[in-house]
Amino acid sequence: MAEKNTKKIEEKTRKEGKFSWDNFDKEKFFKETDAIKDIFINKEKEKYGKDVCGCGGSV
Amino acid sequence: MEKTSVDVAEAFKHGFALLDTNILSALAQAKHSSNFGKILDLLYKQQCEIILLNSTKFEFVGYCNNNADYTKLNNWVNQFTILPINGEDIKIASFLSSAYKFRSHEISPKQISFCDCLNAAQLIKYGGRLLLVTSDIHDYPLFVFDIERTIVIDDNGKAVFVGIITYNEGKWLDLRQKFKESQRN
Repeated sequence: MAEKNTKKIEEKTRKEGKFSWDNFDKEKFFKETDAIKDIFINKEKEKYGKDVCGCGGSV
Repeated sequence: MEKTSVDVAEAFKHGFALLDTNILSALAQAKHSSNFGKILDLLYKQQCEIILLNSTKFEFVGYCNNNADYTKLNNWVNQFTILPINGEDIKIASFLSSAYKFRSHEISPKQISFCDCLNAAQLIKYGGRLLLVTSDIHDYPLFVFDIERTIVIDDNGKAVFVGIITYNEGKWLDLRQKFKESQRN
């Protein structure tokens, strides 16, 4: 069963052509991640009414 | 029942790593996201493909108060393969939440997150052919899972502990059996 389920993920990743190490650009990835930082921090602030740290706990 | 030795290479051999929401959140909130490069380097070295559950996507993207932010977060998270959850996942997650409570009576139902149980269910569903990356190892109890490795990330002086969680069939079967035999106190 686990084998069958794993095949399903393999098919899905191949079909969608999503995240792959072959075309992964680490620098670009972190640049794009830095670009969503403000949005994410503001969203979390609104959600919890205070700053939160990386693990989800309040600071 | 307990693993006597840790074979990290074995944990990665099947090539899929599920990211918990707290890892995405930590990445998005870190002073320097690149400090999290250690995790990516490890997964890259083992050619472990990154995947997420759509419940994780909900936790990450939800609660935006405007479309521009919502779209940007969606675009960022959509670079990963997103797995849908189905009835089987919910069935395993529900069973797990009851088994957690059975095993640790002091756990409050509020401490058992549906999304964490769904992630845990994937480890069981894929029978060890998948690992989970999380910064909250307590959400994945050692009476069912193993911590194959911990990585400490220095986020501007603040330590973020990241655990690589894997399935342990012996522990799972033992817990399942004991739960099935359990009676109301």
